[in-house]
Amino acid sequence: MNKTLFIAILLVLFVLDMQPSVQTHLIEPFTQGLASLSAFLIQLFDKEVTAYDIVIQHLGNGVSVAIKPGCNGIEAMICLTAAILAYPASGLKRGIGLLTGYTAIQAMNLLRIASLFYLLQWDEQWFEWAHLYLWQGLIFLDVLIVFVVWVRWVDKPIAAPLLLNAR
Amino acid sequence: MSFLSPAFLIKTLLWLLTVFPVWYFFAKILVWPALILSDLLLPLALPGVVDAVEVNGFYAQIVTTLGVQTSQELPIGFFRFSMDAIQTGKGNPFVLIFPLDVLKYGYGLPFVTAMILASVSPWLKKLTLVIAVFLLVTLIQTWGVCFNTAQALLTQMGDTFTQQTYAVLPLLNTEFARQIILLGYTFGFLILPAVAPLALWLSMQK
Repeated sequence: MNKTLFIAILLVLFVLDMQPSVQTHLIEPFTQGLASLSAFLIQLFDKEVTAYDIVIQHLGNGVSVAIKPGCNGIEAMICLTAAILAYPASGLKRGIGLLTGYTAIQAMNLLRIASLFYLLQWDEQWFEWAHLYLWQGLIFLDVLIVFVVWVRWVDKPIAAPLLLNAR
Repeated sequence: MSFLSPAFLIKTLLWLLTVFPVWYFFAKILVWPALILSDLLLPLALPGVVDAVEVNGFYAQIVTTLGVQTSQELPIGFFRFSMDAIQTGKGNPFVLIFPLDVLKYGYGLPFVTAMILASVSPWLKKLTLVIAVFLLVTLIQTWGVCFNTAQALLTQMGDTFTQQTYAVLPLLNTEFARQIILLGYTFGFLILPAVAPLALWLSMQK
């Protein structure tokens, strides 16, 4: 991987992410969708949950969580994007890697949101601990795993049937 | 066991079960170098605004020179009495101090330590790597504390203290400076703590 390219892409995407227009037209709608999807999934086993804007709330006890920057998985997706774009591969393989990677990151993120939502209802101190320290690391571990699996797939040697036939 | 094989990942997660609680238990000691560095750097970076950085568990207690006459003007709980003002009757009796969580910039350390311990390499090499990651995380935490302090003074402590900060450091009262501080804080909080230690560990792998 070209490390300079990785850092350059990372910084560019990060600065783009912070632009107000990008936040308004892309990030916030994405986060709202994430909150709605989280609430939908949680409602499969707990009907007393709802979502509005970027907030998920329990109607029974009023406890709510807001999905803020750092909790919507965008930064993890930015890191994966920079890593994949900085690694030599075809456009198709990069596209597959990004789509698969984004799905994996957001699947992990949905798990994070749901677990933190219930952890907050149980104990605020444990919530803070899991929120600030544990889940942040796990999400990026997820990014690393996705990237390495993708690199292995990209670098997989192609079989040489002609050589076998020549023998 | 090859690089990031399923066996390696399982070993990493098992190591994490031990490393994570140990890291949290020793947090107050582990953040100490970052707090010392911050105490050296912040009064230089924000002269006349930040007086010192004190240790409060794994929190950095930012002691400023900014103050007010009445406690109502303060963010709740964030103040110290100014003995100088009380004794001389001059200056502001309520001085702004506020805590910053240093540990939230250091979570990369237990994760990468678990990966190092799970890898197949001599124990001396593992120890060297862990120390290297620890030094890197110390720098990341120092970056975090410094930018978090500036960001908090400009956006979280209220208009009174923001204006006092601008009065002491007019350079901060520009859009460019505010953007740099916001960028530095956000990058230092959302990207650096995970990416930098992982990148260091990856660069050490064959």
